[in-house]
Amino acid sequence: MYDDLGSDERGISEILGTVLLISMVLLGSATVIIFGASAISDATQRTTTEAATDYLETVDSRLATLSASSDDPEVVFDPQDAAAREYHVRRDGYMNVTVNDNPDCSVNQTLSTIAFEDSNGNTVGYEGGGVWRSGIDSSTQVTPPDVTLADGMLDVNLVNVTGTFDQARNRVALNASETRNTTETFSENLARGDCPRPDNVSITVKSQFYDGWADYLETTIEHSPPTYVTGGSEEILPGGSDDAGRDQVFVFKSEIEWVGESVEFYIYMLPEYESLTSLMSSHADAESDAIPVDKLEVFNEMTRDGTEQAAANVEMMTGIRTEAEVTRLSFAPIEDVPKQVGTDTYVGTVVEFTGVPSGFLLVLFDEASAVHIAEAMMPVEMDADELTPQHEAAIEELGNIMTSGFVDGWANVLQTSVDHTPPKLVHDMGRAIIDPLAAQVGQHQEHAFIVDSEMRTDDIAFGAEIHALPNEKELRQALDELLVDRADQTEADVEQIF
Amino acid sequence: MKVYDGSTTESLDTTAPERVKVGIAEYQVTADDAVLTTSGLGSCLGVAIHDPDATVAGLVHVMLPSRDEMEGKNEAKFADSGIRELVAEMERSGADRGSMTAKIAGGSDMLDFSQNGSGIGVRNVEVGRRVLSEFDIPLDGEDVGGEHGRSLRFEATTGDLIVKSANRDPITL
Repeated sequence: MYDDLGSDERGISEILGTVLLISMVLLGSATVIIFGASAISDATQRTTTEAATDYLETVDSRLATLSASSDDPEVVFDPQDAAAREYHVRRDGYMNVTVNDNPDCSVNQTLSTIAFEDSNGNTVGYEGGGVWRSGIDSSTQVTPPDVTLADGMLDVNLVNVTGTFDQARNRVALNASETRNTTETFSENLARGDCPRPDNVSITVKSQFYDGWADYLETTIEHSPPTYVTGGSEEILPGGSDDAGRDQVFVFKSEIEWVGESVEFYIYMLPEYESLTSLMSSHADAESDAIPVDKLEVFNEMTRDGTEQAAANVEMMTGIRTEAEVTRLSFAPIEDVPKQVGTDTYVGTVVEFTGVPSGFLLVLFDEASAVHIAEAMMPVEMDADELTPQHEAAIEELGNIMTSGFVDGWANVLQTSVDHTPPKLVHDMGRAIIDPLAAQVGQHQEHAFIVDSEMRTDDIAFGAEIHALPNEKELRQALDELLVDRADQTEADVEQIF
Repeated sequence: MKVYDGSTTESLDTTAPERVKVGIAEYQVTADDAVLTTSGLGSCLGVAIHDPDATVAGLVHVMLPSRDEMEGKNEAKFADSGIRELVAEMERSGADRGSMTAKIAGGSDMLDFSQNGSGIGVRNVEVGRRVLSEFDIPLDGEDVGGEHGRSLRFEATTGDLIVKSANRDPITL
């Protein structure tokens, strides 16, 4: 993606690359332009680049801590076995951010660099809050810089350093005030006029580590220009070539709300299955408690089968043809758990299940569905608009049998015993129903798995949701003990229940 | 540095006060005539604090009683640290602790499956009352416990806390 666009103002052969970046708003796109820089002067060296990398990473973490302080601290670093003269402080790079190609929305700031070069032409540098390495042909990022573009927000914090290295003392001064000024200049210049409503944003970096920057910005935030789509939830899912035949996908969902405005929307990110799983496995450490992806798939299938059986059971009891529609397994901070349920009033049942895993299971109907489904179970036609005690008794019975099917389905696949309490009937605001359950689970864990499934029917207005909130550690344990090939047993075993 | 964060400076409807949502384990403070709202309080507790002299109001929606009982970085998740954080933030906005009054709502016993000891709702209320009294902030009204959920609307100008429930008429504290 790089084009050779000639030299810069200092007459040194440059490479200019353009990298397509992220939209700052939902429409439009952004560009990153990366310049190369001249090689720094020859230096003698004895130490390895690894030692220099370690050293600069220490510098990075020290400066990151100090940059928040109010005065301009001067820091003396000991490069250990490296001779001081092998390090330089350079201030010949820059970063430019331009919005909408508008010169009035453009900021240029110096990039200061602490660099070390060895005899083989390898350079390690601390620049822009990150550590970089460059060889003869290319450069790479070692630790990320303080420049991020995420959720439509650009964060730039360019640490400004001056200093000298010599035999007597190795001194680096962090100009905290100048660092703040840099940040404020960005804010002031880009927060005025139309600048905060960008159609596109160009980030230009001139640096010896230009291709490291390009890779960093590219992998962090590359995207294609957005396309406007309308349609039902299923039609607008992108048909990724590799994922077309896949039954399950990963989805990252974010809900955005405006303060004081009645605007809400969701951002769904659907990463390609293969690339996400390979990324996750490369980041998981061997000792971690990561759950293998194939077990999540089995678990999801198990939930789908359980939901289908619960739906079949509804049909059996009511004569209304019902289909399992959505099943998903979510992982969210405990305080976000109640958001899985709507704010409307729901009727349903809640049980606590014990065993491995333990947790809570909710069967919820919206009020209209509850009336309809309850009447379908009654021998006498009620034709009521409101829920009577008879309706509630019918819902309790239905909730009980749906719960049993669901929980026993799990137990069979996990080959553990999962018991549950008698159902408690609830009729309240959806979020208030799940809130005490999230709080009870939240006493032991910060994140929670949430199993959600929905069923619908075309015949009458009817919708039911099943939500399970298992204990996180116990679910991990259960999945850990789960044999993937046992998933085939799910269907048969669940059928035995009914 | 923030270039674009989704916030807008477009003029709001001046006839209605700004409505600010407070999510679970969050707090909001206003020095304007905003209305702070939060929904879906089950065992969670809403603590509304008002300083009529400085016209500063704040609302926190806490989930669990005490930060000491477990790990957690979010102060607003717990009744003790959440109230402390809310009072501190109100003071930064110009409120005076001596003029503050508080109202609490929520802490329902619904769906409490705990086998022994008090449920989370009860303990949220206990800790909420205790921390407010540590700060010498008088409790001016409360609607707590019971077996139902609540949603809150806290009017910063008047200090009125309107409590809505699914099966009950709204009440004003």
